[in-house]
Amino acid sequence: MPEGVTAAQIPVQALKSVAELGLAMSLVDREAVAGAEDAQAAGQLADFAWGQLDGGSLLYRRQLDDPASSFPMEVYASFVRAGYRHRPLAALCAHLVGLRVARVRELAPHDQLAVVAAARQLGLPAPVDPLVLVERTWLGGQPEPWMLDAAAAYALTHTVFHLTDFGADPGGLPQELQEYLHLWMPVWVDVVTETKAWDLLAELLIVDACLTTPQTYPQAWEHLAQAQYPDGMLPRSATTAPRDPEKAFRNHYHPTLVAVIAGTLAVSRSVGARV
Amino acid sequence: MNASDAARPPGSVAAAVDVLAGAVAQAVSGAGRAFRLGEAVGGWADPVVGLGAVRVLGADALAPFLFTGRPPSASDVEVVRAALRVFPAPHREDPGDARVWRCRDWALGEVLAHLGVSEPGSNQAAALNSGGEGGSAGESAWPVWSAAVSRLSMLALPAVGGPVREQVRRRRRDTWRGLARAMLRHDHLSAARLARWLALDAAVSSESLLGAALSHLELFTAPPPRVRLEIALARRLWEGG
Repeated sequence: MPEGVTAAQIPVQALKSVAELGLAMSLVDREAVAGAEDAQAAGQLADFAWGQLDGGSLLYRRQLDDPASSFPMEVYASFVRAGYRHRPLAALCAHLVGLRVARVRELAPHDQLAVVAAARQLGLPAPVDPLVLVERTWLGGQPEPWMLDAAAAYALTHTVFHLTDFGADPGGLPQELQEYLHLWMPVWVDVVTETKAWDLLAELLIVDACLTTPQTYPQAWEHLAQAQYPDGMLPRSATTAPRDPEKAFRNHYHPTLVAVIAGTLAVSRSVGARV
Repeated sequence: MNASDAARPPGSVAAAVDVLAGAVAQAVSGAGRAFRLGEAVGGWADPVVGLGAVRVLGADALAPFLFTGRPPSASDVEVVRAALRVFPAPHREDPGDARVWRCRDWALGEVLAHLGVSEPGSNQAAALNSGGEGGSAGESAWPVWSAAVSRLSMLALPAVGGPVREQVRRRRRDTWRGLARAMLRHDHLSAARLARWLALDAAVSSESLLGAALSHLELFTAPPPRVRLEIALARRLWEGG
């Protein structure tokens, strides 16, 4: 995290990468299917991420500085899942979720679902009924499957993540949407695999693991395994990763973390070790 | 076929196929006057390319007669017979290609029989009476199966039954998956062919997606003649031809 700047001055992207690390490690912890070494590493990485957030104080200061932003609460929710607490930040979140403004955020429906999911994680009431929100999402419209573009694909994946709490509650996704995904996911997995869009493919595999009845897509996993670098990094697509480790991290940390989540949930679903 | 096509005769079978495909598409769309196969391929300096086009399109070249209920004339039938004489089924090393030709010829036989035309020539009888056969991919995974089925779209006509049509009926979801995949891959010919299969036995209730798919192919893809023909046949089948 950059030093010598206020919490408000830290770029969102820097916070996002820490947030996503926290999210991934919270899921590894929750699913409890990693071996002892990996579980310990996950715990250390979660501690590192929470430390980068100054034990939550960085998020608290950002929330104070920008009351209208839902970002601090969304980030905090992942760490709450892993057992971390910042009581003053929790109090702020409880206050903000109860406001009228919480019901009318000018956000895309799937982003509003992220806020609802965060509130649920914090034990707070949903500011908006998620079943109302889902009807306004791309997925909720059950569109023509050939109209899926990258933006719609990521909106779709995030809709499923938030409705199901990353697979903790597959029933959170309405049955007709489960059926819609059962019909069309094989197509999207096939096409995304062919285009070697590994980041999106890994997100689609997370979606699969969030369904009541996953398909598993073993061939897609084979492709991801082949694309993975020896040090574990998964590149975003069929590009050669930069040699410089910092650049490589910046460009490809996201698909790598997504692969961690996807792999964790896939293993968890397959062994039935659900929380 | 319009006057300008007659003025610029196609110099190759491939070009002739495009011209004939355009004429058939126009005819099944209900536009223009009664379709005459002889006229559609006649009047060209090299009549053989026209016969080659009939051979390639096979049963599809007779589709206007199926949809309008107007029987082919004697000269229309003679064009088909001449095409079969001049171009017997080619030998193909690739089993998939060979199967496509056998199915193409079988469909032609079925349509001719439906139109009340007796067997053309005895040298084609065996091929034409093969009784149909299952698609090459049988029970394969949907991407392989749907790709194989799309190549057999010449079987997707009301007068033609057979095991491939039964497979498509049974694997309707997989046919839809194949169509969506083809659309996303911009493989418009395969998409149009699979739309034709779906249109053939579309349930009464359905499938508003099919109309959306056909409109998408018509509006977004500037389809070449072979694709336009598949779309025209699919639309005619879907809209109750």
